[in-house]
Amino acid sequence: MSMFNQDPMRYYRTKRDNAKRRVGDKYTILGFISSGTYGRVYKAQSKEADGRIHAIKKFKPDKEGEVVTYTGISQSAIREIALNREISHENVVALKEVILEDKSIYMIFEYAEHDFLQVIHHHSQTLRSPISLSVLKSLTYQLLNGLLYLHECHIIHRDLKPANILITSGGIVKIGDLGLARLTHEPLQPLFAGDKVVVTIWYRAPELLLGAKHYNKSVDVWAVGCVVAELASLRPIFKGEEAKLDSKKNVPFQKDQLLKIFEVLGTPDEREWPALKDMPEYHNMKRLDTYQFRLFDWCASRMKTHQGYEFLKALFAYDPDARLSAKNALKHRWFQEEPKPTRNAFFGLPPHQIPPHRRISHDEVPSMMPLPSAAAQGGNPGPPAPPGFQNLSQGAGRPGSTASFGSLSGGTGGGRDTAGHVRKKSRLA
Amino acid sequence: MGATNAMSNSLSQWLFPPSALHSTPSSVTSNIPLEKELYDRARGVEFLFRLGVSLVLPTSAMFTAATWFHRFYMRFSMEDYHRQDVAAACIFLATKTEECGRKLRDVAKIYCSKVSRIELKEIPDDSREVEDSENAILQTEEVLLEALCFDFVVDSPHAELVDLFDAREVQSEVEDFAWSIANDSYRTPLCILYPPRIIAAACYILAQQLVEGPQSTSLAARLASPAPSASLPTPPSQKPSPMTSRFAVEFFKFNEIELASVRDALSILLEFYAAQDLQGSTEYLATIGSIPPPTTSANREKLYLPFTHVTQNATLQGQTAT
Repeated sequence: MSMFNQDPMRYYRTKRDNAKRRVGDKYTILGFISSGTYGRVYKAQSKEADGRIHAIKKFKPDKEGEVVTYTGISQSAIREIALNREISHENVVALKEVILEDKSIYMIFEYAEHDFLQVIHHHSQTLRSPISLSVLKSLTYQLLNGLLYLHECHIIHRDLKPANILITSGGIVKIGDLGLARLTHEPLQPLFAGDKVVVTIWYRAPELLLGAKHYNKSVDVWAVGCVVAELASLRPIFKGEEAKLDSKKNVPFQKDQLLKIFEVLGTPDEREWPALKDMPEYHNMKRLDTYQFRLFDWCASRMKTHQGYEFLKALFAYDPDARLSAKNALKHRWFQEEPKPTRNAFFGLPPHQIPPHRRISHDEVPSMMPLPSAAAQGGNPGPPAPPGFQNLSQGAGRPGSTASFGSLSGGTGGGRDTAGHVRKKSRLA
Repeated sequence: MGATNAMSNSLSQWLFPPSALHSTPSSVTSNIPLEKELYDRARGVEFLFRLGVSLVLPTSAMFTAATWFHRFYMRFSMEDYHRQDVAAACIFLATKTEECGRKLRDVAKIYCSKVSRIELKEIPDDSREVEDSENAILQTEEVLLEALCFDFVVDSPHAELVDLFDAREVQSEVEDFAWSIANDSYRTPLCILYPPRIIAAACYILAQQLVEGPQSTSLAARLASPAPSASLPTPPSQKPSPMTSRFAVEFFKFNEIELASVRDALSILLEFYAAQDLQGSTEYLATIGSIPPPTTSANREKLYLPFTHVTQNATLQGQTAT
């Protein structure tokens, strides 16, 4: 059987490989942007006349069991492609093309120069001043607009965080990285089970932290609340420590993260959230100290107006059913009072207020992209992070960044992340 | 070419005119006669369904896989890629897109069991055959991904049928028949010729005709355009009112062109059923082969020859994977 099946196959693959164009034929790789669990992201320029800039996400193959063998095209890649092929919206990153080469999937996305994390860093590190209310509101409005679109397509993003929310140089917000996103209707598997746990911990909704097996779009709205608060204060509002899986892979109680939330929003009670007592972690939660609601004070200096406070409060409703939907969030009065959101979020900004261009590293290119010129240099055995990497590690130490995978974000790759990858890579070798 | 297509709307680029069946890669590059290709497509989908059932996949995953199977052979020849490898690759890929993941090893073992007709439990995990099957599935998967241009999302006539059933209380027998006929439709290339609502209507109307019997409204009248005038005297034998017999047509609000497509789709279905050796099969299948087709718009060449004729002509074409 193998003779019959494989010989013609080999012949046709040769024929096909000669006929088709490879990534390197169509794009010039300009540099490496970031890496994560599922793959790595590169900045690339189309060789076509328009010379457009793209972000190329290269997937690592899936593993089945402990032994690393090729077991087909990665399910995460397939999932992300399937979702991306079905959607098209100004505020969601567009997938331009998919290329299969040497058993690796390359997804070619439109490029965005900035992201929310970069804007936050620029304001906290360089400008040392808050993001203007006009920019804050424009970014939030466009983010919700993209999210509404996803939700209307029955897609839950599940991993919204500043590093995954991109902005073009024209000030248009683009939600990126649907790597963890899922269709919501008739989930064939519980969204929680088996999978990677959903949403980076700082942006994780309380129902998830309390072990809910069923959850819905409102987890994304919670994350938006966290992102808005972070834009307003330039630091994560609920910066908890993630409790890790124990040796038996039991999902731990996320005590620290819950405490960080309770410190601002107060301890939830059954009156405002009737389903609370049915949560798997309810009894663990009851053992924690109780806190008073103090979001009002938190917002006083940060959200500026009363509507700003009301808006954030509605995004942070404990009961997922009482939480604002993306649709109603867009209708909130905060957006109707001055300053109104603008289509170009950077409209009217002096140039120095716009964050710098995304940093890329050139050192990672030869080892990861088997370009003709690079291939000639031979395999890179996985050295320690090259010097260029230091530029990328401003986000190091943020759990929000390390959990990211191939998010199209600069400045978030994180030295730790990269080292982990190199370690894994050398183990495979 | 290949996988690097433009990201365009996916449905329309996957619908072919029926005449395209005369110039498939199997026909053009491998000289495989159309009737043989259609016979092997039917067998391939049969095999695909058997794999899917053994893996306990949701039917939606099997319908998606079957659609891909037909799309694949619009771009590659059956001579180069064996129908059973393609069927298994379609099933394996569908478990990934439809969130019903199965291990490659499990797919390969069931594949081996079906191909070699050995009980599943007698196939050891680490046998050479299982490993070979895994490789065959993976190699085919790569080709499949490119053939599909990464268009994974597929609609089925079943979803349309559900809407149709919901719209009205009907005899459940009609629903059951329509559902089964829609399952059978995947053995034909209908899913690459017509959009799901056309196929759904064809299945439903054929089911009505079957349930209501040969004395009921003819397929031609059910699909006539314009609708037979209500003022014409209606023969008393015609129990279901013209309203009922045209329920699907009205539900989908078909225009002239779509009506013609339903007629064509129906005639292909009937041709497919008539080509089977239906002796000894269930009663409804035995009658389905003798239903006169509606008059079709184009002078379509006949697609199917009796399968018994195809098998007699195919020299030494075993049922196994070799």
